[in-house]
Amino acid sequence: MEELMGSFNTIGIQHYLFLSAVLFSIGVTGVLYRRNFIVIFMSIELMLNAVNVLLAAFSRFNGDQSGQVFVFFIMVVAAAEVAVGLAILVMIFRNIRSTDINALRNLKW
Amino acid sequence: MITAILIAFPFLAALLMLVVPASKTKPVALAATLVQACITAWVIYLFDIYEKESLLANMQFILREEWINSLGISFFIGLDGISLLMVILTNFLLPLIVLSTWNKEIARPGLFYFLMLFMQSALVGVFVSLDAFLYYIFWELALIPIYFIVLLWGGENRIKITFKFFIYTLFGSLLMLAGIIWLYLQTSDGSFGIDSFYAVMLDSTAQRWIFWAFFIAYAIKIPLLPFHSWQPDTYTTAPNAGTMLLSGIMLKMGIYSILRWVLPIVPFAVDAYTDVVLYMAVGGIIYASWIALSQNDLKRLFAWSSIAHVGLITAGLFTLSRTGFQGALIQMIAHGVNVVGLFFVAEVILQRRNTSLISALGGIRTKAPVFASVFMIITFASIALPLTNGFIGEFLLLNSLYEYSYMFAAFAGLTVIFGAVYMLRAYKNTMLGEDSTEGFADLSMSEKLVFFPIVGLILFFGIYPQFIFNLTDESVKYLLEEIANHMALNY
Amino acid sequence: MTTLVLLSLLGFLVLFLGAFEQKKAILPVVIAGLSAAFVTNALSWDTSQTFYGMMRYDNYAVSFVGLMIFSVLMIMLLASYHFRNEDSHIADIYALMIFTLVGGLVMVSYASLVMLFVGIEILSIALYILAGSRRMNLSSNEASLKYFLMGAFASGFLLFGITLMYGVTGSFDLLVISDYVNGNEELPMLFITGVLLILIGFSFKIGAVPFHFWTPDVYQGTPTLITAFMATVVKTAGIAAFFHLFDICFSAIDGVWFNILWVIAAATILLGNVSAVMQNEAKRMLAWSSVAHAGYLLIPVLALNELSASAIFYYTAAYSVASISAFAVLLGISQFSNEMPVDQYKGLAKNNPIMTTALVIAMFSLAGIPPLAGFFGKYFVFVTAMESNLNIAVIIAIAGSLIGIYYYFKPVIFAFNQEVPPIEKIKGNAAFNFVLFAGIIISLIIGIFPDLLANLPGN
Repeated sequence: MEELMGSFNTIGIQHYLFLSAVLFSIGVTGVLYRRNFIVIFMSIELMLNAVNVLLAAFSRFNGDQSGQVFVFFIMVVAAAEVAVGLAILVMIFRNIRSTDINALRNLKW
Repeated sequence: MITAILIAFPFLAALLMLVVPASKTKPVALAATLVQACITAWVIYLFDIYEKESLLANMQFILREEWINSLGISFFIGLDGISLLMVILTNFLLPLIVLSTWNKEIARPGLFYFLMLFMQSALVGVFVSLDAFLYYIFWELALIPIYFIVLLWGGENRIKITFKFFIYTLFGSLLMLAGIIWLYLQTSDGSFGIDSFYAVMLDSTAQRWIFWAFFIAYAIKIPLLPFHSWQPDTYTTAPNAGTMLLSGIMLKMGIYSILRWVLPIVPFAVDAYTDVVLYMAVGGIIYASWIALSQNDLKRLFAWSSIAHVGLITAGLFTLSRTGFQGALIQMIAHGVNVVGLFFVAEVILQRRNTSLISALGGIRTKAPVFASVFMIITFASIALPLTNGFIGEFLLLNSLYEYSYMFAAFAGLTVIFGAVYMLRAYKNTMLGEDSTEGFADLSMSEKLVFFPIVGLILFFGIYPQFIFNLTDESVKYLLEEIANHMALNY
Repeated sequence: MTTLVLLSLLGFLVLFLGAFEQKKAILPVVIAGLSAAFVTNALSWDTSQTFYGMMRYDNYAVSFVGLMIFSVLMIMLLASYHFRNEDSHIADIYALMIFTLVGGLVMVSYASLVMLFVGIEILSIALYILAGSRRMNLSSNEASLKYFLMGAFASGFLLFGITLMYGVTGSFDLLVISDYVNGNEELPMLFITGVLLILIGFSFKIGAVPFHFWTPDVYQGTPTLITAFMATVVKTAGIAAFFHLFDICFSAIDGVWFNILWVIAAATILLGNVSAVMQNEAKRMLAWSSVAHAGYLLIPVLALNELSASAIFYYTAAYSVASISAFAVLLGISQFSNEMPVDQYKGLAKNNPIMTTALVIAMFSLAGIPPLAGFFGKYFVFVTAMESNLNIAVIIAIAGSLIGIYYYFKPVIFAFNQEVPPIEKIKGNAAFNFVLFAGIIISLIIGIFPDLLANLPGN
């Protein structure tokens, strides 16, 4: 157990930073390139969670609790956002019977 | 206080127009402009031509109230001889312009006269403002009514033409606004007052920038050569009253502004660019005269001749001499009166014959001798025959140019010759020549009431130009002193 | 703080009124509640309280909140006209608008980046629903979805930026961050990346080029009333929050963001105006115009001197008043249709003098013609910019204003068109006419006496 904790401590803040940057970039790429609403939602969630990881890491690193508290804020907000987002999606699905973003061409994109 | 009344009265009268029943608007509008003319006459009576000391001390009837404190803007108005002269021009021409619409059916007359009186208020505001910001506001305000007048009552293609006109002038104004703000940031006491502006000392580079920022706005308004292309179309398409406002009064805003806001503030740049401006002005004179020679439409002909005349006035201003200034002032009044007369001639012909093409007209004199005589007098004034108001101004202007440079004077002198050619030819082809078979009723009472005062003014200023000298001499003297002081300090 | 509590309670109250079918009571309650909020807000003037280091309710916040409450009040009045025949969901829409306002309030009074994020999300989530409030209308659905996606995407950037900032400084508190910035000569790369990410996030929110592309679509698809809301309240909150952060925290490091923001502002002004010229759809045109105005509003942020806050406040006030008038007229003409070609303004003038006057005043004010409020707003922005020697930016803004004349004058010219059969008299209720009158009078009064508003946000 001791050894395990020790090995955690050797993982520096850069690693977390790198991980979260990668996750964030995957999220951004997903939003930009995927055409399915649900996948896009997931990508956005990924972006938010990348931030959460980083916040938790920074919080530990800085020895400050507020970062972890902020994670909860983000989670709550993300939940609200997903609720609204899925509602919008359902509404659209009822009208067009599709989850493909290309089906929405009513307005010039 | 009385200066504020000069601005406020037409504005209140304009608001009145919106509630007066449509059938009563013409008499009420006329009465309002006449009252305004009387107030102006009262101001002339009160005006003390001998009070002096310096340019700013020469300002009379000053009113200075705080307005937007946080940015150093005040409601600061006052009159000196030059402003008063412009106010006289505005307020005495307006009744004539209103009267010139007497016989005309106008759709939505309330709105029409509202815009005219509103414009009068704004024009007076431009001439009496002594705060740069206030001045700018009035400058822009004067643009809006004329835009609507042309847009709503204009002729063919009015949407495109008004748009071009608006964009042109607004472009100039915005540059000027940037210049004003920049100057304001340089003032020592953070104020837009003209006294603070005159006290600003700029280096020569800054002066050059400021000069162009202001001058382009004025060159568009006047208009000078490369910026003139809005003018003939707008004059032609505008309803006649609008053309008169534009040519008789509004373009004087540009010339007046050069005197008031450019020459004393950036004299060094003026000195540096005199030749450039003279090329523009004299080039404009020749070009416009040349185009005028080949015009077949009376309104277009007058529009182009107007460009030639104002080119000469501008050229005179930039000689920075007393003769030049006086000539310009006299010629501004003369041009205002004459051009209103000329456009009314075109209007009278247009109303009776439904055309203003010279080639379609002829022999009017035999049918309408009074009209023909009036037109003849105005034509003579326009080509500056002695004893008419055009002569003394043009003489002084050419004289000042001659003192500056032979060459410019020689080319500018062409305007007199060209002017005589195209004006007399227009007169000959419309009034003389073959007797047209159609009838042509002579002047009606209301038309006479427009023309006779114009003829009166032409002869009055032709015989007694001393009136203008007396009014403006002190102001011009101190203006020149201010410029000279500024120059001396800069070097 | 009282205002915040009051508004939140008002939102719930309206929801309950809706749930218990008390339709008649809703509008009076909303108006009374908003007026009360306006008063309590005004009473906080000069008190400048800080709440647990999370919010600071100073004069800056008070003035912007006052402006937003006023705009919401006007839009509510319009809503009562627009929904006169409809009786489902009105309570929801009113309540959501009030919640949006709460979000806006938090956005202009945050003292910690946490509250900035919370404020933005309160505002945005309510707005996603509002944008889709016409459930059966496909454009409304689409606008809602696009707004949602872009909003959430932008929040992600903002959050990442905030996190990096937290990582470097160890705090979300604006003052701590500011001390950190002022105390360190060399800032770590992470911090600079954070600043830039926040800049991107905000650019998305206020619709600045190149992150503006959602604006026209969303504005067009969203129900007109909500578009008015987005164009005024949301833009005000966005730019006020943007400036607040940059003013407090990043003024010392303008080397990092100045050039980028300069390019963004210039591009926003030019592209917004040029694109607006090419639109045939009135709402789309107003959308592009709002993009352009976001560009003008960025100039005081760039200048960042003692005049900036006042300039932004005055400009947003002038812009909000004029926009609400413009949308009111649009709502009057288009009635229940969600979209309206610009041609439909044709022939308005003959039978609808008040609407035409309101339209002319609104368009002239947006175009910046003196002596209307919009002119003084632009003027104020120019003064602010030139005070910081941003002369080129001013020239670009001037060029933009000139282009702007073209499309702002189009509805006016159309309104006076006499070639088509004139539009019948449009009957508006008292609330509608009140909004029109208020728009005309306020545009004139604050244009002629700008001192009334110019010094409010203070320093």
